[in-house]
Amino acid sequence: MHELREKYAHREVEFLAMYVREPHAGERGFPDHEDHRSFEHKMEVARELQQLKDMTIPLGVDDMSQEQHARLGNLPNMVFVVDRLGRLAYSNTWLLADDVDSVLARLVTADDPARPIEPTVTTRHLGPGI
Amino acid sequence: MAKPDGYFKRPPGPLAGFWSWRYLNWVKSIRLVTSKRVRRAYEAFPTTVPIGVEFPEIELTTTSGRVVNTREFQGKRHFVLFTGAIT
Repeated sequence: MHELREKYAHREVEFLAMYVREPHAGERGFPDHEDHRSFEHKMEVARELQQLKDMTIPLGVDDMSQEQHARLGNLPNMVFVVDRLGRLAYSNTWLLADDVDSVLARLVTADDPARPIEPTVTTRHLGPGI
Repeated sequence: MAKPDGYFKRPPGPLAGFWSWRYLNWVKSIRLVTSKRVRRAYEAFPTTVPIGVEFPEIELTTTSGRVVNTREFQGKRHFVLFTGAIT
């Protein structure tokens, strides 16, 4: 995602990540992670994630009721591309970087056909969301 | 604009996704992937926010304490919103 953010930095594309519930808290590979106890705890874990992944994309945290997350489908690794008119242009239940790149390339090229941009990301799989 | 088959792609990853099983609770994972609740959530996903319609207003507090509302991008910028967690 950071690669895409850099690529589209000068073409008026904003990136925002949403930290949601931990889907595998306490499981074999994640014994130190438990379900969020409070919003403060959730925010603390979100900051940990930000450090782990060296994230520069703003990371927003949904409240404990997961209201915002539920409005979008309540799945763990969703991705949405929204055009400047506020309409959904693309969505998926898994983050596929090349799809997102293709959609963004189409949107920004349509904005300014004199400065076309081509999809360049070939990585099919970026892993779970963030 | 989205590819018609774009909704239900499952994570491929190394070993067709089985790599992740090393880190997970197998029983819980099998229950999850076979549960009606999860299946219904994936089936409902394309209609929850359909392509071409107005995206719902989302307001989040960032880790730096700033409140971001997706309405602030409207008319100005395209945006990508993605969700995730550590586990």
